[in-house]
Amino acid sequence: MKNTLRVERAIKNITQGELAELIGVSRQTINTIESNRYVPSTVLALKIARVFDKPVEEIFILDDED
Amino acid sequence: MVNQTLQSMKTRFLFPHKFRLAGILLLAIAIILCMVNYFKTGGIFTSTYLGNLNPIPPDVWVSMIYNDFLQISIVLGLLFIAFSKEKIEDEQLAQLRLDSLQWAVYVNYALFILCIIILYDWNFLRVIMFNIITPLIFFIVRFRWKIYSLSRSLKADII
Repeated sequence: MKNTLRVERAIKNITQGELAELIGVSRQTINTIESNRYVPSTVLALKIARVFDKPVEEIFILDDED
Repeated sequence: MVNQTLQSMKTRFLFPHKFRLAGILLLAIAIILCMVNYFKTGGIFTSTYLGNLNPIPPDVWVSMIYNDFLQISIVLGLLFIAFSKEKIEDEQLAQLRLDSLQWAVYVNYALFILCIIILYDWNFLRVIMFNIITPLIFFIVRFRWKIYSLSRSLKADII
């Protein structure tokens, strides 16, 4: 699974730490999601999408391997 | 409200964060008392040889209760350190905790099988004694190491 989290953060101009605080997770979790080392749960993905005011599919995209 | 329910569901079986410090203190005190015993008597617990003593003399009672206190302190201390909440709990941490626990159980029993093969008599009994607490120790080490490497990778990413 790929994601556009880093880009979305840049557009909204918020840091990993700020995003983490908004959705109640640690900065490490945002970091590992961005670098594709951790796949968030549906709940967490929905929360992230809500922060950026976009549908989940625009932020998290299925990979060829999935 | 939904978020709160989910959060509490994830951390249902954990102690509050402050319990970690309590656990460290409890364990430290128990280890120091065990060391004092060791230098005094050569064993980590006080001697509780019952033999044919009947009724049991008061000083043996005291010694038995003292040993119980030490053993309970060690187990509770380790439990508190192992299973208290982190400052920020989230789903990745819950996953990490579960993975570390499984890893610890595997390592523990792998070593135990090895000990069954190579050790006999008293040495084997001694291993069984330590085997009661080693799963917790392996888990704590593994979990802490995972958290440490996670925060290290975070720093590397920012630079």
